[in-house]
Amino acid sequence: MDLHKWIIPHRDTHKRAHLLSWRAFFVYIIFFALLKISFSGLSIINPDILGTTSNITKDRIIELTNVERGKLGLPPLSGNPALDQAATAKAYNMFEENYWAHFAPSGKSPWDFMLGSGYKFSVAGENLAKSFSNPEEVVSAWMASPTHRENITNSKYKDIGIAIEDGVINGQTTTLVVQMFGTTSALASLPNTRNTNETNAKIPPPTVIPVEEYERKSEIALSVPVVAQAQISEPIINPFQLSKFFGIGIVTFISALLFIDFVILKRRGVFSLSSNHFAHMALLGVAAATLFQLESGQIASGIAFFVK
Amino acid sequence: MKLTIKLHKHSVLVLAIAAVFTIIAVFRLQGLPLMQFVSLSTLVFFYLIWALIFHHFDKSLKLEVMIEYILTALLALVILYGVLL
Repeated sequence: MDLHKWIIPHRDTHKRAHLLSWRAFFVYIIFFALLKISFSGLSIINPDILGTTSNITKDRIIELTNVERGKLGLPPLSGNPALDQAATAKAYNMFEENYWAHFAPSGKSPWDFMLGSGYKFSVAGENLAKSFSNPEEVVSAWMASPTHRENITNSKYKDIGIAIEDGVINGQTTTLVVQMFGTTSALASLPNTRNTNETNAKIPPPTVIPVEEYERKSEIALSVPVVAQAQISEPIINPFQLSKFFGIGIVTFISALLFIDFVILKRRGVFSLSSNHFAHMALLGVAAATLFQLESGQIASGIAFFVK
Repeated sequence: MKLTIKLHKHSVLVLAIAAVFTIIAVFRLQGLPLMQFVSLSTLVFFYLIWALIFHHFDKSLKLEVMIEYILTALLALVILYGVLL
């Protein structure tokens, strides 16, 4: 078997290397599709095998949040046990109801958890993140998002509560980070409560509820029991890292073959500008750049809440 | 001949600019994988349209050429879907 035919273009016909043929591309596609299907299957059979490991700590998240506030000359936030409890209840509720959002399928809102833990806020906000491996990545991703940054750098907040919990969502073991902000200061002392960052036009207006409803919610505040999660063992396979590894491998491999093809055809004096080398390399280059910069974590848009 | 080379260079430049814009979008949307995937899918769609137009004007539009583009696009999408979503 002529091994070089797999890597370099044909000597006489100048046809592409076998590993760049449509059949080879078909095999790469099938391989990746099977990889994804295997992860989905594994997550159903044994979710504990798949997951991410993280070294996120509550103190570090608070520290990094205050560093970001400090850069803008804002006072640091103080850890609040009631907000911690609310954040923990919210995290467990997401595992229990199997969702990842600010509002539960059952209708529970972040404000319900805060009021349920006894935190009677006048201004409050919530940021969520999941599947990150370190606190720097979490805060950096939040700061890159206008709505999360708005919460982190909101001058009205005085307290912060954090929950970092491992559990299973959609059949996959993950680490959730719930960050809650608020202040219990009287509304009278907050004349500009609704104006938090006018410079950012992308921030949606905060949700406002009438005081009567707020009072009613306080009275019937949800008490979400914090149920101990099943012991989660260290995941054996990190599907994200494995997919990323194979993705970068294949994209780099094909790009390298295309480059070799281009150089050899150019040397032979048969390279045509009509060839697809540059277009393919541009697309694969973007795919590779995306894969390289990709972190496993996800954030949901941040939200804030004000009592009228 | 000169005109053809110019056309090719300009076409490649258009695709390169689209690629650079997509990379910027992907970096700005860190932590929002769905949005990143939408940005990349837009580029893939543009890449296919670009291929159709480019090879049409180049008079090199053939089924096998388009299959090669479609498979490359599909591979990029499958890999990115697998990692992002």
